[in-house]
Order: sequence, then C-alpha cells, then structure tokens
Amino acid sequence: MSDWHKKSVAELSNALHQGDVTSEQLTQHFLSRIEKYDNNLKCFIEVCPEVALSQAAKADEAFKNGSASVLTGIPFAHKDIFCTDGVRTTAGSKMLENFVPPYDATVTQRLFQAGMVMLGKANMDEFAMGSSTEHSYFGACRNPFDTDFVPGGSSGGSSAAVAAGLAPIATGSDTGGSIRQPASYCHLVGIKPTYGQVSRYGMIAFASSLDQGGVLAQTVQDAALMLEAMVGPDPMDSTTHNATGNPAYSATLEQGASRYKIAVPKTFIDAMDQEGQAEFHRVLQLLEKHGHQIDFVELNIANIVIPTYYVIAPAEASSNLARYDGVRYGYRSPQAQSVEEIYVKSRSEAFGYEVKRRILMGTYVLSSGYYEAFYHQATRIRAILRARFAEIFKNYDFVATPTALSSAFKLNALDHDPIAMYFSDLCTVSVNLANLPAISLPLMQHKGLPLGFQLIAPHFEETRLFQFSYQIEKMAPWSHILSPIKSSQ
Amino acid sequence: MRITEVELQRLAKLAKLNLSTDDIPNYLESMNKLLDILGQLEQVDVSELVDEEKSMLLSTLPLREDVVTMEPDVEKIQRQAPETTKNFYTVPKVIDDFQEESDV
Repeated sequence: MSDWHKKSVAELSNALHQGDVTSEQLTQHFLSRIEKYDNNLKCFIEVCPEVALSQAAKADEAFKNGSASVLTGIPFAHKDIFCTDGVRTTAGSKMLENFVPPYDATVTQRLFQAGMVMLGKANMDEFAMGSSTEHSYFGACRNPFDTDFVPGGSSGGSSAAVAAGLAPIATGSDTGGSIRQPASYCHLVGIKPTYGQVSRYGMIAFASSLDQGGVLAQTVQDAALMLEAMVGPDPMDSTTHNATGNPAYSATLEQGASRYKIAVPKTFIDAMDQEGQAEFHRVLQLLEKHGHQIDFVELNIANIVIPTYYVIAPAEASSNLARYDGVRYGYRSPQAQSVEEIYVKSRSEAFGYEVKRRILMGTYVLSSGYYEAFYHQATRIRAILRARFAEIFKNYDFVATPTALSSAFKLNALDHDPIAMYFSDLCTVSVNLANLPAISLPLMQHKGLPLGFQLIAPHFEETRLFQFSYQIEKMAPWSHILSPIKSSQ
Repeated sequence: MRITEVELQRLAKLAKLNLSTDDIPNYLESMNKLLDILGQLEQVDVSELVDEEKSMLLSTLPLREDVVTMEPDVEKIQRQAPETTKNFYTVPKVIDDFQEESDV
C-alpha cells in the first residue's frame, strides 16, 4: 500500500515532476482512501471522482508537454462554501442541497488554473456558522485523532480530510476562526490572510466584512504554495483592491529575520487551564531560546471581542441570508401557496437551528431602536480594536496567542449550551474584527489532542508570517507528534 | 436587555421565519443568554475613537466605468430556479383581492 497520503504537497509536486507518479494515480489513491474512511469521518459532502480524474488527466498532459507548474496535478479538498460550476455547492445547508452553481468562484478558478485536482466538496457548519461542523445539514464531521471529538469548524471537513490523509491540502474560509480553530484541533497549519487578499466572489457569504478564504495544510511551505495561487486583486470583488498580486511566499520562506519581537497578551493565557498554560509557555521558551524576544502585553479585549463579533457577524449574516427566498434558486417549500409562504416556509424549512438563531440576533441588533446601541457601538469598538493592534505592531513584529483555549471538545458536548461554543472562538475573532492575517501552527498538545499556536501579523504581512512560521517549523518539526488514522496505513 | 416571546415573533416576522412552538423556549433562552453578554458592549468606553469615519471599514472603493461587462447565460442561470416561465421566475399570485398588510 503506497503512502502518498503521508507526503506534503511539496513532496508530491516533486514526485509528479520527476515522473515517480502520475496525477491520475495520486487522485485514485486519495479517492480510494475517501471511499474507505469517509463514511465514518464525513469529511465530504460531495465527492466528484469524474471531475477529479478528468482534471488529473489534463494535469498529466501538462506534465507531458512541459507546461506543468508547482501545483499541477495536486489533489485538494474544496470547502463547500466555494461555488464550483457544474458541481453541487451546498454551504452545508438544506437550503442549497440541490444547488449547482452556474459559475466558479474566483478561488476555484485560480486553483483550477494552477492545475489542481478537486477531490470533492468538504463538509462544513451550515453557512459557516459554527465551531464544530456539528451544524452541517449533512451530518457531523469527526476528528481523525479521536472520532468522539469534533474536528472544529466551520472548515471541519477540510481540516479532518487533510488530517486523515484523505486530501493533502484543503481550502477553508474564516469569519471568526473557522480555518484556524479546526487547524488547531486537527494538528494542521491554518492560514487566514488579511481581509481583502482572497476574493470572496463565489464564496457563499456569511459576514461580508469578516469572511476570508484561506488554506489548511500539513506544512508551512504547502500553505504558502496554495495561498499564493489564491490571493490577488479581483475586479469581481472590490474589497480586494489592496491585495498583493503575485506574492512569492513560497520562494522567500528562508529569508526571515533572526530576531523577531513578539507581543503576548496575557488575557488569553490566563483563560487557559494549567496544562494549556504550561504548553503555551513551553513554546514561548523555545522561541526565546532561538533568539526571539517575548514580551507580555496588556490587551484587555477578551471581554469585548465575543460580544462585538456576535453583533457584527449575525447582523451581516441576517442581511446576506435574506437572499434565500425560495424564488430564484435554492429550496422552495412544496407547501407554499402564496408568495409570503414561499419566503417564510422555504426559509423556515431549510435553515437549521443555529442559522435561524443568528438571523434572529442579526435582525434584533439591526432593528430600529437597537441599531445604535448594538451595531453602531460594535463598529466603533471594532475600530478601537484595530487601533490597539496597530499600536502594538508599532513595536512588535507579531502577536502570539493560543489558537483556542483548549483542545477539541466531544461531539454533542455543547448541545445544551450553544452560547458556550461561541467562546471557543475567543482567541480567533479579534483577528477577523481587525482584518489582520493570522496563522495557526500545530505546536501544542492538550488533554492528549492537538492544540494550535497562533501568530498574528500586521495587515498584508503574510510574507513575514510565513517566514517566521517556517523557522518555527524547523525548530519544532511536528509530523512526529501525534498519529491520526492516516499513519495506520 | 431581554426579549419576550412577543418580541421574538416580531423578529421572526421581520426575518420571514416561522418558529415552531416547541422551539420557542430554546430560542428565547439562548438569545437572552447572548443578549446578557451583548449588554457588556454598552459599558465600553468608545470616547477614544476621535474620527467616526475611521469606524468605517474601507477608506476607498475602486470605481469602474458604467458599462456592461458580462452577458449572463440566462438558460444556465435559470436551471437552478424552482419554476420559470420564459425568462421569468414563476411564483403564486402576489396581488390577491384585498388583504390586510401584515403589521410589522
């Protein structure tokens, strides 16, 4: 049994270019693993072998005629939030259960142009609202490290697929932590770039001022390789006008500084248990040993980031999800007798509980009489948060925090207390609110499961983020730490 | 700030949602829990924000010429529609005798 699933994208790319394997063989390898293991894990909502093999054949042609580039022929899992022309795209919801987009998202286009091979659409919390992938209409995804536990969310399917060796790399999206937290729970690198780097055209909208596409990968180099193919200005998304086109993240990984200054807000560490704190300090000491400067700073935002986020995100979601009215696409209730019923019945029958709750919250905070106290107040706080980070970045290169306060929780553990789940985003939401780039690195263990270490950089400093992350990976290589199902084969 | 069932139904109406009677207590409980947390926002001192405009996300938006740049493939787009008639989306009659406008 071959072990292509134990290889990074960079290694697979070398193998493809040297002719050790064809893209078709690689694709078959991953498709067989999906068939064998995914029933239990539910990483995928849709597996598309025909599309994948046709793309693999095209890639193999490119290798024959010498036009292949670094990502050509590499299979990937594509979060089901990105529109794919001709391939069902559901956003994890009954509302889009039968929706086949008539166009490709820009992210989809760019990855296909790079020659990548789409194995299938990865499972996710419905409309990206969740931190566990338990809110998927298509069934909960499981953490390959221990299938009683969640893989995180909302990009849980992407995360679990890579961790289980069902795909070497995956796309994700991150509104409040939905790439970084699942990467943290599944021992992966997860990068959310600066807001505006990755086009949101064709990425089903949750909260338009927070959403950002990104990558879940095994290594820093792999994340750099895929992200650089995704970023850049897009006339179809006017919020990308400041994006850096053609960045060379993967080419400049080894050019980092020998001494970085890192600010660590005490507020997040204090909220961890003893084991978590000890692990986090262990990593800080490792960085200091390698010559980097660690300073503990005050950033007293822990008590306001969650309420600020849970005003802005639901508000924007309630607006974005108003388009699902049963008229032009998506689910239409067979019971509807009038136009009003088309709206109400379709939405009520096809949206899940968490989605409805967030729509209701968003409606409340935007309604007359409450808009000023909630939404407007939250946008002011958001601006202050951005200023606080900017102040820190005047004197520091990075802010470091745990990606989450603890490792993954058990499936159904938070069913009775959905609000408690919101607090698993404590360390991640401030990054989205401030529109900063951040990466989660699989450096820690907690209660026998993976826990991520988060680095936050100033706007558009992904190069610096990748360079330091690459250094850290050399200091503490992580492929040996925990063994999920992929290494049992 | 807490909401009552009456207010919840009003929100549901605004959001074009119908909440089942069984679910209402759950929604009320979780939303009120969240509202207790959101109440903390009132106490936050925002006086340090000097320029209100800075609370806006984007300082500039790029503009383009007001010309048509794409011709939509109507047939392809409408393949996703529940029901169509020629280039239109078919729905039940909107105007139906005289009906009380639901008060919002």
